[in-house]
Amino acid sequence: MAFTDHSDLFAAVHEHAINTTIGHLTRQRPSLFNYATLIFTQALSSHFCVPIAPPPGGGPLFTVEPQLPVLGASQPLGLDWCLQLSNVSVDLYPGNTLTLPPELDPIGSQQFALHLQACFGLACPDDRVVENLTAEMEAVVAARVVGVAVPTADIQPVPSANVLCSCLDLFGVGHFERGAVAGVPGQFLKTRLDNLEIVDLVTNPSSNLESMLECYLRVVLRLGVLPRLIVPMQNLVLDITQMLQNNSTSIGQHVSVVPAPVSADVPNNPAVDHDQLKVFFNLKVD
Amino acid sequence: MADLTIAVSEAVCAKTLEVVVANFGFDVADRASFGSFMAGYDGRLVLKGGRLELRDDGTVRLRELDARWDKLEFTLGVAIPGLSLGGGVVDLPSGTIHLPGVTLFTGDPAAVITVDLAPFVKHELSLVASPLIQHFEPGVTPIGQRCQDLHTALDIDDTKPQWRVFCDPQTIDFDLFDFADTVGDLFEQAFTDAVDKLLPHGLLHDIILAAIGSVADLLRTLLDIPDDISEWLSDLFNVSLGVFNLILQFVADFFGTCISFFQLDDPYPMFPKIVEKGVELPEVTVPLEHLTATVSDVELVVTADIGAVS
Amino acid sequence: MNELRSEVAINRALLTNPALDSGAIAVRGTVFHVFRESGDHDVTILRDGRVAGQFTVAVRPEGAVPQVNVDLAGLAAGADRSGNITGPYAVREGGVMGFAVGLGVGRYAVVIGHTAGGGSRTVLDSRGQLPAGDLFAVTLITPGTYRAANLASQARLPITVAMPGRDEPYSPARPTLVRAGDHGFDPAAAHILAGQSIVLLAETPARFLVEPVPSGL
Repeated sequence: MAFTDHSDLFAAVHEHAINTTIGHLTRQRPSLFNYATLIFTQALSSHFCVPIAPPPGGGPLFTVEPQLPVLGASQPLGLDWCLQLSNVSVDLYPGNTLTLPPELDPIGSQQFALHLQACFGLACPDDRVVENLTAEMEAVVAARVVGVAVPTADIQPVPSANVLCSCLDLFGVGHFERGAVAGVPGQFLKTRLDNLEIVDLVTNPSSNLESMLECYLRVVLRLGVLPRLIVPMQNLVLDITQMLQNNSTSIGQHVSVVPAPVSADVPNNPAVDHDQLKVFFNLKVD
Repeated sequence: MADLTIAVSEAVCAKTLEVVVANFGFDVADRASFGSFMAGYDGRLVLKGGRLELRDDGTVRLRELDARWDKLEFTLGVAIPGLSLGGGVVDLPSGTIHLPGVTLFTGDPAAVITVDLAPFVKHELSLVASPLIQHFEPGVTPIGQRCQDLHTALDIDDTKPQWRVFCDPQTIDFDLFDFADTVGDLFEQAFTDAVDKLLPHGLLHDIILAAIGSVADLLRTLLDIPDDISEWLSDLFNVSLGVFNLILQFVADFFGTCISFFQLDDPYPMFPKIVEKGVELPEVTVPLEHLTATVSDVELVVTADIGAVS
Repeated sequence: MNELRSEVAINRALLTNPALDSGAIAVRGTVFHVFRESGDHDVTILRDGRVAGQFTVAVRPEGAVPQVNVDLAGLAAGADRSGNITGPYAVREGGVMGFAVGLGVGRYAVVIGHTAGGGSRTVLDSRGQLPAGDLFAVTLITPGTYRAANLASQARLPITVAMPGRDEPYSPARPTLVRAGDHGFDPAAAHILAGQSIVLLAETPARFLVEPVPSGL
């Protein structure tokens, strides 16, 4: 049986390739996996929960995000923090390298299992800093009580030399889809997260803390990270027919490569099985 | 198991061949002196048609490609020695007296003709090739000017490293030059016109032409052609001028080292560069290693591994 | 593009049809002298009456060629300042030297002296009469009627020159021999094709003049 029995072009990407590619992505675009406040470029640059190597091609180490607001402060105050996703790995169906928690196990046909570690770091101010700021907050309140107008200032960072880190192991289950993206020609491979599970965040008494965190991280992954990982389908065949497509006018034709439609012979496109992500294309000649 | 497996069907290979063939152009020109005559040529050989077959012995067969000349201008310069009037011998009892002829020209005139031989010859090209993988390194992998020009025409980028998959010819079948018999008529007419133009108008013209007699015979005598012109011309191109071998070499180079059927950028840009929140994020590339290419009777399969993170 | 090389030109002397005189050799005319005696002979070439060159011919009983043809215009052009022409020339006793003019409008004469025995005895002065046994060949190109005259005997030879027919086999190298003796020319008339030659053999000393006869006369 040949790879191209049901299509003109075929590609299969082994999960090892996907994981190596994720490794390259982590190395070359760390800002996709690391989020922090601006102070982490300066005073807290050596206080990440997980150290970040500078990308060889240049570029930022992390994505800059706003500070965490100190709720209720009479003048805006912000706490510095970081969130880092690391140790990302994928296990394609039938799923034999990652041990999923019972809530997710086993993965279904056409699905993949995902593991990553999420570390949250909070720059926690020491007591002296808090005392100094307390005096400032009290002064603002007192002034307002006696009717002195105090203009609202910009968010003032709460300085801290100490970052408290906590890491959680996350497991997920997802699948791949193929589709268009509004305003852009061609088809894209899209990664979809179906479910996410934090491994045993136990509270006594039990609470919804785990679920809340899972929700937050799921939303971050679905809306923040995965949309930035859409890949043109042709990348999966490494643009191998680029010369043909670029020069088809020299034979009086317009040749393009399009994903094969789903059919009895190609029930899934992309397809996940045997630890591989498979895609099928046909030649389109106009 | 390889990290990546890409399979290309025979149909895609055949379509790629169409593009490659459409961009095949061999420009060749030379001239040589052969003592009593000079021959030169200036031609452009192109390919049309052809069929591609993938074979289960791991080879690719390109069959029945029509090789035709867009132009094949052939210039022949023939020195015409000793055109004269008078002369001959007179027999006397005391002996034979040889009369010197009256020479018609100062110096030895030459008739130079240029004819387009393109309509009179065609060839068929077939070859059996094996997939050949090359890792192209800009500035390191040698590439000739002619090849660079072809690459520019095909948008093959020689400024970045690539894996290239060639169909490297193992055997090439190319028809020898075999000019149609009718080329003789073309030559005779062109040569007649050339000789005609050498001669002054008027009486002398007709007398000299009558003295020359058959221009065709004169041409054969001057070129020492034993039989027909088409055979002589074929031998000239096949052997003396060496055009046949030049073509073979070009075909071998064209398919084997110049125009690859498939190219893969290495490292491959998996994610393009992007500007986010005013910050430019460079492209994300993955190195490709251990490329192989194998052929079965239905497809060409390329495998590769993604290189480790450094 | 069919072309003639620029340094080659038609022999312009062929474009005119002047009379041909054995006493003033020009293009289309050749004097043949038979060397009857062995020994060295001095040959002086005159062009338009002035000495243009000199050379020596060694006539040997055997061991030399029977004929040498020379181009008087070429030799004169190649003579050094002293008029010496590089030889050597050697001809067999009874052999022939042909004196022709390849190019140009010059008129030439040849004076040959036999120099054996210390002195010099003129055996040929082409300005006068050709000795018996010598020949004068003319190549006639323009079709029409010509007359050859032997100025020594006043004999006349009518010559007709015709254009070669289109489909007739034709070769310019087919000369016609005419003997000139006391009793006139034999044959009495000659018919040749344009571009062929008439060879006049002097059976007695003769001076030949071949000229076109204008039509209507």
